[in-house]
Amino acid sequence: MRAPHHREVLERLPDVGWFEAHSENYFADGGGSIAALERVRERWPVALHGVGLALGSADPLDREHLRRLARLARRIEPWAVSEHVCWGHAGGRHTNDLLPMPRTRESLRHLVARVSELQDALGRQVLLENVSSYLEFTGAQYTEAGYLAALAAESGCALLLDVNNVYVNARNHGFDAESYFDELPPAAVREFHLAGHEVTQVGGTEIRIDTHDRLVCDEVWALYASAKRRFGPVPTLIEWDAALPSLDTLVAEAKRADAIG
Amino acid sequence: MSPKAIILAAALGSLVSLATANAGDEKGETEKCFGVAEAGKNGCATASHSCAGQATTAKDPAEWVKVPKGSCEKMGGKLTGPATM
Amino acid sequence: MRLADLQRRFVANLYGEPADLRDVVRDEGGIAVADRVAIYRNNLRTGFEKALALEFPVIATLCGEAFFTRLAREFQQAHPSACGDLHYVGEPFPPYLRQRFDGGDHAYFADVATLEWAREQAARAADAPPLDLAKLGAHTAADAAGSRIRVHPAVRLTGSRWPVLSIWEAHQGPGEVRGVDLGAGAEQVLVRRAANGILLERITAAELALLAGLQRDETLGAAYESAIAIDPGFDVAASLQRCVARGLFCG
Repeated sequence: MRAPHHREVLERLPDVGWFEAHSENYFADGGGSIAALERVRERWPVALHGVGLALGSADPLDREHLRRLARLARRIEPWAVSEHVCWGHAGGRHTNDLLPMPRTRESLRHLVARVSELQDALGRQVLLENVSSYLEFTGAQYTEAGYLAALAAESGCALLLDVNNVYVNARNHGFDAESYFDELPPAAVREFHLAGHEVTQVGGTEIRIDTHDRLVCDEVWALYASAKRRFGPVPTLIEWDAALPSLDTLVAEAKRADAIG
Repeated sequence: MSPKAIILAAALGSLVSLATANAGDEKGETEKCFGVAEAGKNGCATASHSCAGQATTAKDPAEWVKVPKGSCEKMGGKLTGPATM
Repeated sequence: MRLADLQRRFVANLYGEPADLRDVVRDEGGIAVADRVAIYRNNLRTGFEKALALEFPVIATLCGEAFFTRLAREFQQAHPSACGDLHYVGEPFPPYLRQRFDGGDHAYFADVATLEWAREQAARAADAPPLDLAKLGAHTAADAAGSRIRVHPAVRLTGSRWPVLSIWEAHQGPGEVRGVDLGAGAEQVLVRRAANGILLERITAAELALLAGLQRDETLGAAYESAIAIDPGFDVAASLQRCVARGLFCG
């Protein structure tokens, strides 16, 4: 849920199962945004989806960020708290982006420790989400799915499977999306994300960019059906962050997802 | 008591009588304003379309725009001074 | 390569420093490594500029698109984002503009940016219950000057020698930006949060001095002294009544 839809959601009470909010957009001490989210929470389950904690960064964990997340979680009592399998800053300089992990044993150890720290701070299990990527680092010791599976096994976290991101990466880096699913422990996947992406070209080669600004494409719908068969009908979120459509369009996408499987 | 102290005491006193006059009329001001939520700046999408390769290949318009050329041109009666651009 | 070293090198490269990534980023064929990295560099710049434009829409319009892009890029180099939450990137922007445009035709940009940042802060400040006026009655005439009144956390005060609120207002609503005479003189602005949004209004320099004193937790007596130093005829009772009516005080 994004701010331009707050009022309409609260006035029209659309027939959807739950909402998800970017945690950082509700970190304010007070004011209209957090008030709106509390009103939404009175009627629906809410999940908090963080984009800024950057657990994979080697820099020290931002204690203030963690404190604000914990405060928000106490206030909203979300059904799920999620973060990304990514890093985002180094030497104090932030990119505010979801940068892919170098998939090494060293980085996995680091990420497992950070996820455990987060789970301890919040007093709950968290969900970690796979990200889209446009490059891979050298020296990978895991496949992308193998890295996620090891993270879940070693930290005890659950997984948020972004089906669009799996598809984007499968196309960008040339792997098979179905075998990606096969590598994940079925019980660890607790939530799906769906989104639209852009297909563009760089120097004559196609690349897919995770833009969250359009409808989910047919190939991702097909992959979603397959994911649902393997992992079960866990809650599914339609993500739309730019060029926001009408609330009706979002509700229709959510209904289409519910009808599959 | 100094004249200033008397003025301030009277000023505070006038607020107390305001309280009696406005009793029950505070809802409008205290109601939380969920309808005017600020636009959240964080998201997890890649920010730009046609972004691939742009930073290295596309001509960057910012290279050759040396002075503000927006609505500042409508701010008349400028104080004279050298531009620092 | 160690995780920390890899990340430092990658971020340095994104920020435009010479940091070789050829042995760090896998050559997958097709798209060159440099072009893959460029996607992230572009996202870093575009995301930052978009966040800044959301926080400072009037500055963005005053600058025009091309110059704002250039300015955002310069500012980002000088003040890289220091937080995982994009709501903070604009905090050093007003002082940056002050130094950047000091003494020139665009020196007023810094004060307009200060006003825009005050709106952002007002939107995000803590909630607080309104002042219980009946409790003020407990102050006897003798300690009125020594009393303290708490200003609501969402109140911001800003003054400028330029007509900053007029400039801000000229940029609101649909249609063309209206012209403003920069020589029209100083404006003091009260920024507050109300049920229908973040409201801005002109106040007198004396009233700003009174509120600023109370905001610094000075006694009413001390804040009043600041106000009458500016305007000996300042009507404190009328001013306090206006403040209460606007919900500027809290319990």
